[in-house]
Amino acid sequence: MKGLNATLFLILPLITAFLLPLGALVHKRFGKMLNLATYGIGIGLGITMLIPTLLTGGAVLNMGGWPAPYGISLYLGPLALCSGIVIYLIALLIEINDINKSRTTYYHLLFNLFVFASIAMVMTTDIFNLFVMMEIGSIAVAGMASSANMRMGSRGGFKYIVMSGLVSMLMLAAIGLLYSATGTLNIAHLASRTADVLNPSFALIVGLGILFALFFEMEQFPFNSWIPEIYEGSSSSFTAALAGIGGIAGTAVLGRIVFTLLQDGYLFYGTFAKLSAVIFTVAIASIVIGEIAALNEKNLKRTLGYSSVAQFGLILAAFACGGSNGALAGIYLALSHTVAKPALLFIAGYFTRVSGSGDWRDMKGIGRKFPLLAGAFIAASLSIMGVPLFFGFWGKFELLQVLLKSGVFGAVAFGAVLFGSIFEGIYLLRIGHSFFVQTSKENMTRYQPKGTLLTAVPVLILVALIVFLGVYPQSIVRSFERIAADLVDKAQYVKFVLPTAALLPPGGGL
Amino acid sequence: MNFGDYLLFLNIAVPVAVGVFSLIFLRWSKKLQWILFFAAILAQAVFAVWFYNSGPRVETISLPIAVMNLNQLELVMRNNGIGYLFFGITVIVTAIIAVFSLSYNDKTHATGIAPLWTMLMGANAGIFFSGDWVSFILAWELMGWTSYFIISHGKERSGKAGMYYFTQSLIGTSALLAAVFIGVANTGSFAIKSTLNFYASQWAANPGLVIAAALLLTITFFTKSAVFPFFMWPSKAHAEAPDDFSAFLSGVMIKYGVFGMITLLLPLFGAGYNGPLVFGTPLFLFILGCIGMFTAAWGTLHAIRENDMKKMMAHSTVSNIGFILTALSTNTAMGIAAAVFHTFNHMIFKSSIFLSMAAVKYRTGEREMHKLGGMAYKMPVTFFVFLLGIIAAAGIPPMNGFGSKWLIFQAMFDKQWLLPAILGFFASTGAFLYLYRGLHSIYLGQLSPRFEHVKEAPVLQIVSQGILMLAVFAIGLFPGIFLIPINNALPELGLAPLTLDLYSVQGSTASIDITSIGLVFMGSFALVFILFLIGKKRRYVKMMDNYTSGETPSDWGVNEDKLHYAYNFYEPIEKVFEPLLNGFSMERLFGRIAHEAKRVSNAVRGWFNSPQTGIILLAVLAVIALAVWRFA
Repeated sequence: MKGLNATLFLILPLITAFLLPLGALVHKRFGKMLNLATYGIGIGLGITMLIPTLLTGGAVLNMGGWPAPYGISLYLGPLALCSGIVIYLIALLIEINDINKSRTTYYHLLFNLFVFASIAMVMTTDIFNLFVMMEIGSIAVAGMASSANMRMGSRGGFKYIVMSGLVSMLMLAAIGLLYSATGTLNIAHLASRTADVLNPSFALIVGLGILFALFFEMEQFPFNSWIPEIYEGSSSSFTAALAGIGGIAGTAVLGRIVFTLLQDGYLFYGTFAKLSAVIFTVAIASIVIGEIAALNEKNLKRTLGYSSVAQFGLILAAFACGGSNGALAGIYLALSHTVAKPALLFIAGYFTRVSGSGDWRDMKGIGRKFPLLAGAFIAASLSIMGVPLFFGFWGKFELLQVLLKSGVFGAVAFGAVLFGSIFEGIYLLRIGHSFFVQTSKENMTRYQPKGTLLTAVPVLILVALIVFLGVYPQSIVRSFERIAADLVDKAQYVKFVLPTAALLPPGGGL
Repeated sequence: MNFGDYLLFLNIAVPVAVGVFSLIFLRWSKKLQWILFFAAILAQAVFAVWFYNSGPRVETISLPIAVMNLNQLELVMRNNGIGYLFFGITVIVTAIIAVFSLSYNDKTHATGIAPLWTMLMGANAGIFFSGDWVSFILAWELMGWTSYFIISHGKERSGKAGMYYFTQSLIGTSALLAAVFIGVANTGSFAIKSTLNFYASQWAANPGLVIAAALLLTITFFTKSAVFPFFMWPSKAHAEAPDDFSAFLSGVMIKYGVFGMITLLLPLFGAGYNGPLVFGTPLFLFILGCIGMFTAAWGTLHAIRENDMKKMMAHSTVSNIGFILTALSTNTAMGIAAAVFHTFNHMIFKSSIFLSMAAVKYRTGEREMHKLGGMAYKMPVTFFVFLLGIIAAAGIPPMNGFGSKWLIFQAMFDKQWLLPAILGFFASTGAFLYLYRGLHSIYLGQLSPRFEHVKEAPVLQIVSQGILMLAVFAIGLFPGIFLIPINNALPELGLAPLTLDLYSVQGSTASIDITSIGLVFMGSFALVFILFLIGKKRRYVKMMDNYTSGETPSDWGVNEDKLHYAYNFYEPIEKVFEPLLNGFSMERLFGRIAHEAKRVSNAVRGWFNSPQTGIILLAVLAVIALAVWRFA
């Protein structure tokens, strides 16, 4: 039964994705209803498995009954399970927000594929499998980006697919090299190797190839030139998926690769310092560039896109520090961002629709008509800024701690984080205030509510989470520690995925 | 859980909770929001008075949060000495301002800031009580963003002023976080005391670190207290904030930086200091002292040329903060006592001045002084409050500003800081100019016919101003009311108490009996008044008759408004200082920085849109590869 639950947890969206075109023949709204049900069931399945997983450490699914490293194994540990639940939750909220929007069946199909790929990414233990899932996710994203039928979105989608092609190529090359050297692509198997060390230059190239793909996934500079077009040109619920679901999946995968494969592995012995320097450099550049770009941005959704770049930069910086504190900081940050950014994007999308303009200066006084939504925008902004009493604070708090213990790069990142938080405060709260500015009567009559409830429900759920976890972090901190331990504890991971110490097949000659 | 063990925490939590509640659920009744606001502050004030003699308290809440191998994060509140004093005086003054607000926020003037202000009062308590950095940062950030929204209060112009303030506030907060986390990384504890002790002990081993920390903390508190070069935000924010909140902003909020400097910055320069000394003071503090006096003079020069009454008084506040900064930079018992004494005095007299101006604006809607004039005939009590307020601000007995300014100069003489003292005298004298300008342009001079029907301020506004006025008077006559508690708190800062009693105080060059001086002054006033009463019978003429010698004004083409001499009041003086003030303008520098930031932002955004992203991408990859190859 447990195995069935776990399997369903993964492939539910895949099954429903391909039921959608059939169902659409029967009823136009079939896709929406089915997706709502799918995500609801997904959350339910996840929660039933949550407690045993947190207690015992998880379960392993061997595809086709082939144990690792021969087959593809999926590891359902605390990290994967919690990420999966969060992904389902965000997907559910996105569907609620989308209920009265007209979407084609194909959009729902792609969305389901994206959800499926994200969940599979966090669960898989095989790097090639990971690559495949990232490709599926990218294709789904590129398809959905142009769904709002705006030129901007199509352009963004095109940029995305070009960039995605580049990094997939690099990653595939790296995977090939790795396989040629070791003869295996199972993360646990690679991590359990205690005999050989890869040639440092070789290891560097392999590590960079894999990391670049993850940087792309995490919207990091310089792999993110598609950010403005996609955030502005596509629907806000899709961008919420990108920032929320894509973000949490990217974080989980990056964490797994960094902590299990790169940090302590014998294979990459001596190379991690260099790779961590790369991660730091990219993170610092992303934080600075994201915050600076957002400073003078007038389009609300683009501003939020740039802010995502910087926020993911923070997560990267946390993981680059390594260690359990770094992992904890990254998880805090990822989760708080996943809760806050979709809320902001829902509100941004709603206000854009209501005001008829994407420019936040054209939304003056909109908060006087929709005080709850605009207030929620400010609360979520404060969380993103890392202000105490909001969820985001605890992540930033941990991060600042860890960075100062991580050498020169850490110190520079520390400065960048503080520098960025000045800009963040300026552009986010400036927008927040402009929502409440007194404005002319004509302006106010322009704002006609259109399906407020469907936006308000998911937003309020998220903001309630932000405030609750900000004021009462004790409620969740133990689970977070458990997740961080899952991420950092390599031995445990290897023990689960490779029950019998499998022998490594003879590898390539490097 | 026993609530009695968490009274200090409740002083933070209750106002914040009340504020959130009234923000969300009481939007339909602003009146009710204001009443709740008043109730929350009153509760704090009652607490402050009730527990005045209850001795030090320490309260702890443990959060099971893993931070750097600590299994628990302890939130600590303690109410010893100086913090408790600051808390008590600030809440009492705020409660008095709140009485004013109750009447001020009627249908036409209501601003809807009450819930946020209530939350801000929670932060107020947190700043003064915190014993650990987490609580302090919590309170500091809460204060930052609530005050931004209060200053902006949904007006576009105010929004700009608020953002100018908030930007500097964010810089300050980032500097604070840096100082805190560097300290915590070294000590492994979030207790404020242990971080400060660590820094103070590093003068021999790592002086660069201590100076860096001192600089970061200085930036934090300079931005909050508007010391040069961050002195421009009050003239924008005080002016654009809601009028009743301006009194709080100028009276109370700006003092958080002073409190921070006394309790968090000065301890770094304790017994362990072995760096260079100037006049027996650490060089760093001497520089702060000079900046303080420069700020005092600079603020005065700016105030003199201001036509907007709220902006003028904002600059005056900056000037007073300069005095306070210099006094505390001496790092002696007398200096710190003088600084705290002047802080409290300024809290009271500047609040009374701002409330008086708010009452005028409430009735007339004007804040540019040349449009006012003659208000004394229509609003005598308000006028009298302003008069006593500016006497105090000018440092003339028998009002409270005199004693503290005297002590500040004594502290400077004690350290032989003559150059700063000269600047101080200049600033102090210059203050007469702008204070008189305010008195003349708002309250004296020709009443405009537009204001013929203006009435005295409503009762509650009078009551609140009156209480402050009495306080100005009482403390001016009996400085010991403030000085004795301050003196009692000094030993906790590691300083020897001064020699003083209710009436007099011993300075460095002389001792002074302030009560006698005040009585002599009042006696001479009384004498003149008696002469006035028994003098020849007077006949009242209309003011216009004075000006035109009985001719019909309309024949001359003049009316009342033209006969109110207020615009460009100090033109000759302004001309003298104009090249200096315009040539050396922080305003322009900051404007330039903001402009450049926007340009850089546009350039970065341009990158995202440029068709050459591929080339840039490759270039960046090459740089990363190079960096890794060479440096990692």
